[in-house]
Amino acid sequence: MNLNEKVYDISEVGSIEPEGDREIVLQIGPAHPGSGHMRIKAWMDGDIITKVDADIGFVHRTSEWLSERRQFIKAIPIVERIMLPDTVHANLAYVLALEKILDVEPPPRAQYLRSLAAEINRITSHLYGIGLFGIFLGSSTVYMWAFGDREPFIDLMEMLTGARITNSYIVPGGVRWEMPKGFKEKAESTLQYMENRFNDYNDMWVKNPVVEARTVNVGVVDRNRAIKLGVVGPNLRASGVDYDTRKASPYAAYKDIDFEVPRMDHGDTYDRLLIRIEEIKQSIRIIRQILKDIPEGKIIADSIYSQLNPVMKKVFEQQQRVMFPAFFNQMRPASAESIARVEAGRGEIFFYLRTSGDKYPYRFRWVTPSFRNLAYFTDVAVGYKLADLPAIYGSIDYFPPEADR
Amino acid sequence: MIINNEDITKTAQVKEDEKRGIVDIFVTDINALKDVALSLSKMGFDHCLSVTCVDYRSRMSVMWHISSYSKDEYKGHVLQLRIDVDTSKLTPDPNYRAPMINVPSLVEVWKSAEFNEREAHEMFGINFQGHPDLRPILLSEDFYGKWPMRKDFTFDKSGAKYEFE
Repeated sequence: MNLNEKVYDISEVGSIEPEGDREIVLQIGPAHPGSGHMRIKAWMDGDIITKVDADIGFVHRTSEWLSERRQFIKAIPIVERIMLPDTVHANLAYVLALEKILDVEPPPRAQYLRSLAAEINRITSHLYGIGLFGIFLGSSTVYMWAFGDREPFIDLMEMLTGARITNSYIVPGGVRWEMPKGFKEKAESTLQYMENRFNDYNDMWVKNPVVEARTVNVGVVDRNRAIKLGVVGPNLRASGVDYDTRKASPYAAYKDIDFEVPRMDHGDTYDRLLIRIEEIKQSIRIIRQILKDIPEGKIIADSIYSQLNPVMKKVFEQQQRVMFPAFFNQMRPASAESIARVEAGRGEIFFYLRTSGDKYPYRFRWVTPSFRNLAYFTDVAVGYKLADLPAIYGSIDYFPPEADR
Repeated sequence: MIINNEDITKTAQVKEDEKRGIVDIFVTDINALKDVALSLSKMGFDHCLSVTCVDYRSRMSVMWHISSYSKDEYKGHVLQLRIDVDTSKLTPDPNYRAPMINVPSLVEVWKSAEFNEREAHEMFGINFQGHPDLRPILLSEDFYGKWPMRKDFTFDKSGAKYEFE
């Protein structure tokens, strides 16, 4: 065998060619249990990462293309299935953009119910993130705990909306279900349970010296860098930026609710863990306020209610349940454009909707928080050790199907 | 009016739609786009939320949605920096299904536009001039050059059971 004969020409796959003699290229993913459905190409100098390329798109589901070829109401299940741990927020962001075009204003009780569902969803989303962060650092206990503690909140969502994850609870003009009897008591006991659990998390996980050793001063992003990279959500606030869409441009009932936006100063991996726990505490405070202050009244706007046929109106009076009027399937909103922003668990969702007077959206554009947090891989992981990459990945709460849309 | 900077208003048409939350900044001259972007960046609009294209068949609308993290008075606003390109007179390119559209890239002004512009490039065939890295990001390589989000895109229907339109 002639050794000079090239069996495999490295120059054909030029993008994986290492730069210089010292470097090697590691391909992490796309089927790695830690990386999820994405591939991280890491250029390594010894143990130090010198360059990272995040290769995404393995779970791209063409949600924009599909939504532009369906009636408006059928986009709700599509956006929900893209953001599975954050379904209510995806649903809410789309409906807000659509309501601005339809010129519908939901009644106050519906606004409060929307905020209630969104905050329960935020807690489940953060627990999901904390659990996966645990498994990234090698602790299967905190993974089991967080996923177990997520369950009571999912049960609450089931009681409120009739579905565990993909609720499709929010429709243009209001919400689909009235708050059931006994919900307030069950919610209060669930919140008390979660408050007691914080002590366990502190003892076992947050104040754990092993966790601190692996996360403090790892993946540091200071304030100016976070602004420049345009990251969103808890990751942005962990770097000390005072920005929350719920405060900056309030939607649903957040204008009337008193809450704080937690903020950290250092912007390292440990801060990104702490801020999620602080946000769960604020969500608990918001849910208590909503349950106390929620006004009486209708859950659907009059303009939508008047479209219901007599049978549907009877169902609404007896069961407090909104059935879909045929109007939803056949509506042709006037030619207009609108945008909407919603603070989801992982960060800000942005929606742009363009209608042309047709049955389908003319342009359906949305950007999810994980897509905007991609810069954490390419810019932040550089300069740290390979062993720090899982900690950085886990702390930003990245969800590949959400980024790929 | 939140935009009363003269550098911007002399080259762009500013229109506010408060009900729908859109501040539209329509730049008529493509060469002035970067200057307008730089003036906005100096005002404190420091990040880009999305790069959106709308295909009106005879023209392509490219827009950068931008907002501010650092200035309190701008946090609640989203600006829509928009440019329209006439696509009816482009010369066909044999390498691509439809010719690419040349638009200046704003990555130098807003780093956060980088991945969004990559996505707009592969979906709509916008050639962002000056972008550091225009590889496909979400689609596979065999889709490159087909620009699937344009309105004139059709796919091979042999074997497809569902007709959309």
